[in-house]
Amino acid sequence: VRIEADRERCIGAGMCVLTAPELFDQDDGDGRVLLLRGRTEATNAEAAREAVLMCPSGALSLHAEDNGTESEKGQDP
Amino acid sequence: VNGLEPVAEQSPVELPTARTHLFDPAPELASLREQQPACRLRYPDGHVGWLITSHKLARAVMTDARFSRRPPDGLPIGRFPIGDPKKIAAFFGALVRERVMVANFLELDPPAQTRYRRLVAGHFTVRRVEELRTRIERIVDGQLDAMEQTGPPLDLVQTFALPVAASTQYALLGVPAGDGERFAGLSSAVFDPNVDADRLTGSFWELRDYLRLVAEQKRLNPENDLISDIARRDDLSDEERFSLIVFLFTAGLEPSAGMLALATFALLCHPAALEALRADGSLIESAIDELLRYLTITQAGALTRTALEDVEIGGIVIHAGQSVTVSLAAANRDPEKFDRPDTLELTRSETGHLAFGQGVHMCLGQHIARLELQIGITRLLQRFPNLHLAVALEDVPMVAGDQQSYGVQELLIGW
Repeated sequence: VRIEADRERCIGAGMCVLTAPELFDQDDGDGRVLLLRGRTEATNAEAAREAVLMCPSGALSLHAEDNGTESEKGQDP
Repeated sequence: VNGLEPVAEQSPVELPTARTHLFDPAPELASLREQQPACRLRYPDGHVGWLITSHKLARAVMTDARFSRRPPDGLPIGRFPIGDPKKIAAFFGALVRERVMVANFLELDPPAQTRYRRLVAGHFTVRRVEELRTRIERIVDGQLDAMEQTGPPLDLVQTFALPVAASTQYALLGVPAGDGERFAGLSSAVFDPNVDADRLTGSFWELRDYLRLVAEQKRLNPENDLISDIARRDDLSDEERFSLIVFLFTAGLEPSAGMLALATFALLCHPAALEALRADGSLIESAIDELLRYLTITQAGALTRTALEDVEIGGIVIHAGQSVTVSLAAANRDPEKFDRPDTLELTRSETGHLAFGQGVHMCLGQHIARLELQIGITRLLQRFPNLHLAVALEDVPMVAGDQQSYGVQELLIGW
């Protein structure tokens, strides 16, 4: 599954880093999300889903690999 | 025939504040959540808005950009569902007049909110906060040393919770060594709703002069701290710098201190949980988040929002201009979200409590608060294996229900 981060929406709360540090990091300057990997693997798919749910600004989403169709998304602020 | 009668407009409630149990929110909140999780709420100044009590709707409101932090015309900044509206209006009136609130981004909507928040957010990332660990450990140990030297019984609030929270804030901001008490004294004078207007204005000016001096020093000799960063920003006015520094200092002080003391009290009242935590220190991370959920100290709820347009939510319509208060305490006890919500379970697996709020205003300092609480509680328990209350449980003075934040006023402990 492909992970997408909307950096315009991101408020740098850091919940993704707390939830899945192997997938996400934060910019030292403004705290915004940085993707360490663009895709999840079998080992961290669950953590990625949790991070999407935990994101307070709805900046993260998961997309199916093949056609890019949106498959999972956090809440829509 | 009965089913066709129009439903009568429900009469508004006042925010329930009377607790019947030490650590539980007012019981009326639970029945509201069950029967009408979005209900009409009468604010102390008489206007009627909405009270949200379910986790689902709470999250929905706080993450919806159609709910604004800017008050509609005619309503004062800082509309609170409890407290004396005249006093609150006078207090915020003074803060607004003195321009203290200009960069307080809790009072702003995006994009202005986003700009200020991003300007400082780099100091609050998970990694950056982790770099403060050793300093916080030293702060906590120093305070514990002082307590041991004085000997029991001691008030945990004054001798531990407040000094730990204050010193952590000094470290984060980079308040010059030795200036801490002066800085804290001036800040609390500025944000004390009980002082008279003249003293308030005097404190404003003194604090502003002091901060201007500190900012000047930091510009010449920058360090790796928040004040140095803010001082060096060319795109900020002096007014904005002052506002940001004072806001960030005060926003992180009392909630952290209050939570540290109340969490200790709650653990002392839950011996099985306390024993479990003593036996397995690795529980501390989930324990702190569970204590945050269970205690939810912001008893007045999340900051009041105003609908910018008509918003349909949970089968009701909140009209443009109406105020909305989210009861974080009620949402954090929602059985649809949390199994056995009224039980303190340090190993609880459900995530997603709302103690730090949600959406674009979610607490910027949450990772610092977590770290302070984790280190503070861990080391307190390690240092004093026989930590106990030095007064009867019912004699611990609690903060009243009409205050914004719940907590202990004093916690006498022995060891």
